[in-house]
Amino acid sequence: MSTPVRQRAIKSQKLKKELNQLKVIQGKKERNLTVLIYGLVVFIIFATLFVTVLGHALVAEQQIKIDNLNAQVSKLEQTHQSLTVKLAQAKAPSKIEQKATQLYNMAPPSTIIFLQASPVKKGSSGSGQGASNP
Amino acid sequence: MRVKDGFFYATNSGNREKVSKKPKKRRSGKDPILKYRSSMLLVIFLLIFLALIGRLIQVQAINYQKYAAYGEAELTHKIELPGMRGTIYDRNGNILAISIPAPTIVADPYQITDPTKEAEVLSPVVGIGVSQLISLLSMKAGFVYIAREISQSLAQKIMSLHLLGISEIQESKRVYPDPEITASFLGNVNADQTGISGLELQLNSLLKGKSGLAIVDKSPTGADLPGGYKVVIPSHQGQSIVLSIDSSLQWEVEQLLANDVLSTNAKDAFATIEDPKTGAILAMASVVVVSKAPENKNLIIAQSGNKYVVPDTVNLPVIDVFEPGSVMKVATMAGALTFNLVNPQSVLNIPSQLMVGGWAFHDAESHGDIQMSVTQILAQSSNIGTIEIAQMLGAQRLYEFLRKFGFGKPTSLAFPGESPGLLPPPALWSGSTIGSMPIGQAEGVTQLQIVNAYSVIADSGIMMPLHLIDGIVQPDGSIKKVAWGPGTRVISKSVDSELINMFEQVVKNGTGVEAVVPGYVVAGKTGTAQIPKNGGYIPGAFMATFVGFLPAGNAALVGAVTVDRPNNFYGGSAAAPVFSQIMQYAVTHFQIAPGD
Repeated sequence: MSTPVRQRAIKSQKLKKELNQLKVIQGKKERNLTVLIYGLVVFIIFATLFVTVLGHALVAEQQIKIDNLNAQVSKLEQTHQSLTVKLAQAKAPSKIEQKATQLYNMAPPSTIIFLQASPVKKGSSGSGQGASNP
Repeated sequence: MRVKDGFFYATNSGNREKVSKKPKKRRSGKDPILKYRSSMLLVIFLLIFLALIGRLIQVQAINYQKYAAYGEAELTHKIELPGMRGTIYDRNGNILAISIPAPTIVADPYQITDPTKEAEVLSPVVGIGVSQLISLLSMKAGFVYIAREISQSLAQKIMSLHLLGISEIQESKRVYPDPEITASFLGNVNADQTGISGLELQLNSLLKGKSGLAIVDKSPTGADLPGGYKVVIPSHQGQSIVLSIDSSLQWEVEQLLANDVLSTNAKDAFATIEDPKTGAILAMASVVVVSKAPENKNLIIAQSGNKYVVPDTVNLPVIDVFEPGSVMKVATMAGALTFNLVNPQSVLNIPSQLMVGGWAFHDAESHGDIQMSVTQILAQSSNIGTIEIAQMLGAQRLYEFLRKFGFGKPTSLAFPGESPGLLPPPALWSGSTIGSMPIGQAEGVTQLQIVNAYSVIADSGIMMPLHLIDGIVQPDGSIKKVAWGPGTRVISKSVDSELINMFEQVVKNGTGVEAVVPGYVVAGKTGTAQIPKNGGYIPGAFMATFVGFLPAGNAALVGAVTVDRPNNFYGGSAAAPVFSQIMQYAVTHFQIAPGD
């Protein structure tokens, strides 16, 4: 008699031990929701990272465009400067005379004639009533 | 909870989940070996962790600046932004000197792993020998110039080689579009764009720009990172300046001087043209004959056989001191008229020679005892007559008048290297100095001083401050005129008009007839002086000068021409014709009517 009782006691003890090891877990719906939430959070994190990287890439792309434009501006400024120098060189009196004499067969004037303007009498050019000395 | 198929099932809200039936087998916590090992592992990890923490504190908190600097240096590169030098314009807005951006190729030898290979690739493009390039690229330095201030196309060609450690920086380069007309007075700048001579030196503080600083972020491969260019200190351009020089007149003067030195076989020649009403210098030219063609062919003004006339790099009108000869008679005449010792009609006995302090003085052309009026003395440039007048004036008053006319001191131009000339005070005069001084033999003057003195006669007895700067360009592009102040009266108006009439006679029927400008009344004076050397004079070597102004009654231009050692040595024959030609051009160029 004692043996079955003892055996039962042992069994009961074992069962108690095993029962202690059991834990309560969420139901499937709740667990799915949890998985969904965690998944969403991970997705948001990755999406945020992606958007950030994409944003950086777009900014970098625009910056490259700006840098290229700045380089073009700088290049055009340099071209402007070199053209300014060329213009100044072309305007040099020596170059002008060289062109005038060699290209257009021009020559410096040999004589200078000054015309003396005759004094104009008051009212002489007028034809109205004020012209007292026609 | 129930047991099925060898598994426990936990039930919650009707859902079931399979869990392991067998409980995990755990080793007893009381195992001493395991406990020891675990403790040791924990201690080791703790120590490693503490070491890492310590290192982190050292890097991030204690020595952070050092490591930040390392990082910064790896990423960022500093670039000096050149502050462009201001532009120099002539009075008509023509550019005489301008600074433009110029690429410079530099190397960082620390980055170059194979200098020989790079030198071999670079050499044919930059035109530097391979051995020289190898030594440059092997230097123990982080910055070495390879080619400075080169053309854009060459820089692009070099950079397209994509050589490691070779990069391009921007510097500025000074360009003189017409060096032929500006070489004498503009001077030069060095590689750092600092003026070292001429006006570039004199106006350096105004012209020089302020360099700026930019930071560029670069990748480890040396590529610029987008958006990594930041200007930390912006550069500032220097002020631009407008000179009183007229390029066209300057060029014409140089042409005429060049033709003259070739035709008279002279060594060099120089001329200055001034507006006596303002003191503005309109042209200031120096030409010299050289036997070897200059490297820059643009500098050749005229050529005859193997003789090349080029602009002198020395601004002779300002720097060259010479005995002026008879042009100095102006001070004696002005002094004597001012003190009413003589008048233009006063007649003096002129002997064939005059002994002063034991020295015999003669006129250029020998004559017996004659009588001459003061006007004739000046017109015929009689040395004896002038000395007689100077003796009436006395040494002290003569000296004072010479000083009043600006001799023996620098002009207001303050040009770098400008000479004050040589004018000894009466205390240092010998017995003969009262004879030699009035005829321009015992003093040394610059051409600028002569022009300055005659501008007094040309401008009703007033000396205006000589100047080359007309204005300064403002940031909005407008030009702010420089106020040069009022002139100084040197002689009275009445004395001045008497002198003008006397100087007119020099050109009408005196020694300066070749200075005549058709249609205009010209007044002026010739000067011929021997060239001193080692206490004596060089035989047959003369400085020929003519100084004059027109229209005589209301002068708009005053100018001087000096020819060094011409074969027709008189000022009236070597210099006066050039003066005439210059003025013929100038009156049409500036549209000066004869009656003005």
